[in-house]
Amino acid sequence: MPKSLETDLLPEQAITKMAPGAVPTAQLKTMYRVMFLIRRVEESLLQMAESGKIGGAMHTAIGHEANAVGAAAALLPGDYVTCTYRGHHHSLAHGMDPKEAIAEVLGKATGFSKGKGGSMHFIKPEIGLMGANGIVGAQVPHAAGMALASQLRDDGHIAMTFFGEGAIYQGVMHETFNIAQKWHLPIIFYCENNRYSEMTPIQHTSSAEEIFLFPKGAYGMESIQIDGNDVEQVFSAVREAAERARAGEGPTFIEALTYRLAGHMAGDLETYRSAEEIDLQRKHEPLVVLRDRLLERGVSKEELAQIREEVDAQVKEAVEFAENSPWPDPAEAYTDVFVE
Amino acid sequence: MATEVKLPDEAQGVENITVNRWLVKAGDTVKSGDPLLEVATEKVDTQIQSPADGVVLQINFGEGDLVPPNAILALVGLPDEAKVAVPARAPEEPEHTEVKDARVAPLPSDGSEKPQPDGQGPAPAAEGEPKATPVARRVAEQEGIPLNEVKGSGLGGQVTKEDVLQYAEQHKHAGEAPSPGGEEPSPAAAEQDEELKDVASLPVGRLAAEYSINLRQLAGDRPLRSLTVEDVLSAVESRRSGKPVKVQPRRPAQPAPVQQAAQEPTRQAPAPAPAPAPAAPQPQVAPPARQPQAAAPAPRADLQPGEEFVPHTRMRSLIARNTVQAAFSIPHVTTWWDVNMSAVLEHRRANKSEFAIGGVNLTVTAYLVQAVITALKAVPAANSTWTDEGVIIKRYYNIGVAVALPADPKSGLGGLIVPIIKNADNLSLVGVARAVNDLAQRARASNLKADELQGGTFTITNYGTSGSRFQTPVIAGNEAGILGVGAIEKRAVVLSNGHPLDPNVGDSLVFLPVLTLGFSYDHRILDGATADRFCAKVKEALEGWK
Amino acid sequence: MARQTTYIQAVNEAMRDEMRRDESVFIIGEDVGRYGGLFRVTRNLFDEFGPRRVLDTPISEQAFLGMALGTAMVGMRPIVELMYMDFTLVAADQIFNQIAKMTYMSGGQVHVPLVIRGQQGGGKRYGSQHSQSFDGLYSHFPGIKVVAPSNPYDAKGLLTAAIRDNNPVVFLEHKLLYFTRGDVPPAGEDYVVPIGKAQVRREGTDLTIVSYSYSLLQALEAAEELSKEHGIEAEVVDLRSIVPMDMQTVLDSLEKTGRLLAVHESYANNGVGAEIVARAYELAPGLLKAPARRLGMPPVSVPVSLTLEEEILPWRRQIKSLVLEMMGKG
Repeated sequence: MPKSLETDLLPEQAITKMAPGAVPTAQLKTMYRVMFLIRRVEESLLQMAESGKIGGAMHTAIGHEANAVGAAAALLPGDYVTCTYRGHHHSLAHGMDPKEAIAEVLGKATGFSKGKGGSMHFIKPEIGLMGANGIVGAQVPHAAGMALASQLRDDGHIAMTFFGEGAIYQGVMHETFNIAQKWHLPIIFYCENNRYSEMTPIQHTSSAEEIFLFPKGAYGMESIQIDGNDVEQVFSAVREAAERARAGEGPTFIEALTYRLAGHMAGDLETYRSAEEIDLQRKHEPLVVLRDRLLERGVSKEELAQIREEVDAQVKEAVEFAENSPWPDPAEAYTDVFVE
Repeated sequence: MATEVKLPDEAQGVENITVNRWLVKAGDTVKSGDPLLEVATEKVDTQIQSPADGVVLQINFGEGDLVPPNAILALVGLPDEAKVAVPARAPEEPEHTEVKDARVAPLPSDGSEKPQPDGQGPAPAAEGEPKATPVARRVAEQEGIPLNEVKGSGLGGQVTKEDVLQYAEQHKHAGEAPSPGGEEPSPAAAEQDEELKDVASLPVGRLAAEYSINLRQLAGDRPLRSLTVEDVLSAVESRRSGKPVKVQPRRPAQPAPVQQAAQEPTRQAPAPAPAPAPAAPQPQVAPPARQPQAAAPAPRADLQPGEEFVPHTRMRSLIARNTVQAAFSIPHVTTWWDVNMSAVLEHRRANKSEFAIGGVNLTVTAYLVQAVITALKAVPAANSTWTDEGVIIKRYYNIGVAVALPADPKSGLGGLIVPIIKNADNLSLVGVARAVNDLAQRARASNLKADELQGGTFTITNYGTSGSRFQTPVIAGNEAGILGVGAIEKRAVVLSNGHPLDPNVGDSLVFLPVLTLGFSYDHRILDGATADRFCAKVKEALEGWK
Repeated sequence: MARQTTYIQAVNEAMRDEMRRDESVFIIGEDVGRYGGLFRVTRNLFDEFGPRRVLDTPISEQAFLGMALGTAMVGMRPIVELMYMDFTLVAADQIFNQIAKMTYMSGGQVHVPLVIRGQQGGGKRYGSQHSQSFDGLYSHFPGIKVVAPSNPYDAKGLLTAAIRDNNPVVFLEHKLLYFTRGDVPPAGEDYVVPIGKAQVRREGTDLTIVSYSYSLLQALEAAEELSKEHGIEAEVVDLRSIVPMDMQTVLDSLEKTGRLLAVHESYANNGVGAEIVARAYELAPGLLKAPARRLGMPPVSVPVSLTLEEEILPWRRQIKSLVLEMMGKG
């Protein structure tokens, strides 16, 4: 029976720069709502996938919520985000309606991409979401291109790209780091390090001990490591990196230590890590961290329960909407190959 | 497993097949071989028979619908196979492991947590109600179906939408075997019918994707499968030029064959006469270049008093087109030969009643067929097809026998059809006679199969039966000649004992049953001498019949 | 008044004119700026437009193709130069998984008005990795338009159309076309050759030869020789666009001739010629008097040696001999 390796890098041991308390309580409450919405949507999708209603590969971001919400809160309208196929949380954090998100995953006509993209290819330019990608690392140069466009047009926007630590050794990442640093592109590279590349722990494959150290060493890039489960830390780090980028100071690399509470994808049997490890991580997961902080700041349990009830109702409605939505017209198979 | 009812293989090369009428309805019990429906091709109506014993479970096309070659027309099977017949919408459910539930655990309780739903989906059932999906609930409510009577096929016995719809179906046709389809298809089956029909053909889809044409917009109310390549090209050109453009269907440069001929599969180089898609991988639904109009046109505005307009039947249009093409592209020459039919008539007299006991009407046509085959074997060029590079000689003998169809008493317009006896050289006289009887009878009853109208190598037309002595028949399609046969008449013939041409004392007149053969031939392939050699052989065979 | 330019000049002018007309057009690639491009196709553009419109990249095809896609997704119109079309394979994920599919996967929410251009083809002994032809591969994947002009007039007109097109277009040049000359309209005259339209370049009655790019010139030469030496009059159709493909012009020609030969330099097996033949049979089999044929390179990598290259490149000599065979005179 395979044994998961000891993970000695618990969230408390991460190097942090940001002091807690950087975000006003009202905003934190909203962040809690959005994070909880992401959690419920992901859980619903996981259940639907495991009962056969969703085909293909579906990767949930349960446990990653703080990375998405903290970063989204720190960006401005007009900024661009690209991410991986484990990327529903970014779209939802940027304000995508869960109705069209779930409909898209189910392949219905009411999905934002009319059912053509599905779970791995979330995209909605109006909210700045410029594409989740099914190919590891492919979304990174896209964001660099968007940053380049901002630079050429001098319009003050920046780009941010999310990837897992498993992407760090794709060739295109290095090509992009080099060009971004050399050209001072206004971009933030954000690594959601959940310790496992698909099913393999990072220690098995990485020659670098700490990921965030090597963009600095190899490319001279500004690079930090944060606790990805603490939404306030995420927010502060991204806000600072965004300001640097807008000021023309070039890219920042952020390594966020986080954890994936569910399997790599729906149907993952998770034989590669132990229940104890998962339980340990569960105690420090982002919703718990934030809930405790809000209670510390005087928010009542009832208020939080109220938020959760409202989110539950919203998600239930979204699931029904998606399930009752029609399938796309067969003629749609032939549209959008080329545009006029 | 239910059996699919499809068009026969011979129909694969044939275009424009529509459903004429259904002879059964869903729920009827049928035996293998029972006729289920009539379909119409351009020239002939054909019945489709049931491939199996069973119950008609599902009917997928309505009367008047165009049928793509590979379509499933209907399903026949056991009554409880109805479920299998409906393509499943919901995929299988994998095994449910408890570990999953444990992972998605609720947040540590602070006293006001709601318990997590336990894998039933986000709509928890109220106490005492059967577990059902929200959609199932809604449909059940709409249809007035008591949920607790519906058997659930979902996870943990959960009732799904499909379960409810099936329950509704079963109880609609009270007393009959549960079967979707039929006169009042259930919503699910109607949905499936729609989905089965409404798909664009591949050439159309490919063009739409390449040129960004929205097929649904283009089709409007029509089904997608009615769109043609020309429709899409017209849309492209109109968009390009900014004004409406209509791209015409392409006309093949070469004449088409008279019959609805698909090319013989043994052929390498295509004949000059093209046929519907012989080598194409998939003859698709998109209607072909030539479209004989079947619909009745509006009454003509230019009729004078005393004039009556008779719209063309399919058959008339086809005959017109085919004969015009043949007449103007093949150099016809007709050679006439007189034949003494005494031997044949005597043989016939001697054997007619014996044949009749076997149920066969022995006609002169049967003798003609056999005599023709003998002659074709002696002059193979007469059993061939012309191409630019060379002549394709057939070593098989598919003899077409023209049959006149009853005329419309009001207009006097009749019809003509040419059923084909395949491999007629393998048949004895009885066999030929039987085949001739059968084909003629079924031709008049409009009951010929498509493959009985294709693939001919030589044609005989016996206009003698309608009283004519001489005609100059028109060659059928891609054949080398057509043998016309005139009426048998008692004629005065000179019988000479001496020199054949100088007058002799012993010359006498005898009265013999004589008919005149009118052999029209393709002068590109046959010259006078070879054509006459053929006729001589026919005459020899007929006059020497034993 | 007509003037003559080389193929390279025509391509250069198209880019220059479009960059003057539309600020969102820019060029990106290796050595395209200060150096003016390995084959000098982008020469003088850096001087006129500066480093913010003509960008030199490191040798990082995946990154700069991906970045070009990113700029296109937010409204710019990049022209990406691939030094050799063979480097398509280095950036294959960005080209075929990303650029080609982004519009479709997003249900039309984003457009990708991007041009990839560069030279391909054999005949200069560059060997297997620098002599291939990519019309077959590009045209196989949905979402990318493919054009391959054979002369300066079409080159300028098609590149202009490609830059103005809101879809990814790959513009295939050929090493041996670069210094060919041809008539083009006066400087400053705005014209476009529409993508998706073929053109008859030589009229004839005996058979139809369909080709594009450098092979088209070879087909024209072969047609002249066939006419003089054998009295065979070939009609030569320049496809110009492989995606979308104008089969109607080909079929119009077939109505006259009844015989079809498709010729191209990319591999014959599973190639563009096979597609042309298949479409002819699918759309109008009645027009064909004889089996349609296709000619391309045999399934061997391109060798360096002169005699070996001559053996396999499907040019004038091979076209002639195949036509003679088709006409029954070979």
